[in-house]
Amino acid sequence: MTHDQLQQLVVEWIKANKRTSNHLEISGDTELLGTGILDSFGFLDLIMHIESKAGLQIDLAEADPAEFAVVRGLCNLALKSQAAQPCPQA
Amino acid sequence: MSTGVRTVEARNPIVETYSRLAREYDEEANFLSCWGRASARALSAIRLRDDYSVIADVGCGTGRALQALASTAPPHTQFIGIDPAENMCRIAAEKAAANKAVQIRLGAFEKIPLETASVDYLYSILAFHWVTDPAASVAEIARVLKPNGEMDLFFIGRDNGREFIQKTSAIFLKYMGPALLLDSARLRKQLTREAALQLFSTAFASPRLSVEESLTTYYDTLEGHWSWWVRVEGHFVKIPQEKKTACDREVREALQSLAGPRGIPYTIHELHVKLRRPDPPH
Repeated sequence: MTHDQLQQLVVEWIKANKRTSNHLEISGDTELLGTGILDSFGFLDLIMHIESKAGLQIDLAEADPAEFAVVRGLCNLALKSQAAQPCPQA
Repeated sequence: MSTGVRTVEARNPIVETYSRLAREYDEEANFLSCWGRASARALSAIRLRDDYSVIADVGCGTGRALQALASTAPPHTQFIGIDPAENMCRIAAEKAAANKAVQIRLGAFEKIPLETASVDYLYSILAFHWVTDPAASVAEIARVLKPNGEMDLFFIGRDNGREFIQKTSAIFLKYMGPALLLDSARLRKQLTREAALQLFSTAFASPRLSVEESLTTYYDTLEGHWSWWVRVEGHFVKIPQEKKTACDREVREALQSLAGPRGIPYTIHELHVKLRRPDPPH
């Protein structure tokens, strides 16, 4: 999955599940926790959604708190986790 | 009468925290807090039938609701309070020492220390959201209730405390990091009304079963709200001690920024799962 595909996946999920009624534009720069768009429960749901759709496991131990809650940073973390995982055996 | 408290093996940070803070639980500030008021409201909604023989309070804490209900129930009614926090059980057992109708047992929703089909009425006030295994807990409730048993469970729902969460999530992310923050969220099972209905429908059928929800905003001072913060401290036990003071300071400032003319708001999203006997045939 490319970064653009992953970001689209994340943005669409957030639009469908955000915790605010504001009609905010969701982009790569959108911060999700401090703005109230998602809470920690929503974040858990989003991570499970990414993991199931992209077939990867996000390594939260590697996450930078400053980037984790921003759409682009979360996508970067997911792709970094994907790259670090061993290829499935044929 | 049995007021002996036996040790259970399974422990989690929430149970440990509640047990450690058990003596503070009955302080006046806690009763006056939004949680004290919500608990009193839930208690006032409970109606006991005269034909109940065995009543169970799961997550009984220090036994406050048990004592209130037992004081007005018919003498044949047996009350059993159950809680996973050892020190909560000790206090509840001390209070029950003079009342032969009340027993206290160490246990939890996931493994209720009661015989199958032995309970006429089971209630719980603001405890079910702490379960570690919701499906197993519902199965246990169904096991211990008699076929026509009744139930009132009050617990917090998905949208609880939105004001505080919105103001403090970024602060906790900063001090806990993503992994610990999400671990702490996993400790609570905050369900939507629809998810709760689906969960309890696995064991109980409509129309006996219903789930109601309410959103009630409570206003208080910063110190008033802080008095119950001890109850959620279990979430944050993994914040390093050297960071905790700074984290507390930032959280307090964030909560104070919510203050309006009526005080600092906190909205409790409460779910009320009811199970009633079927209506008698006409």
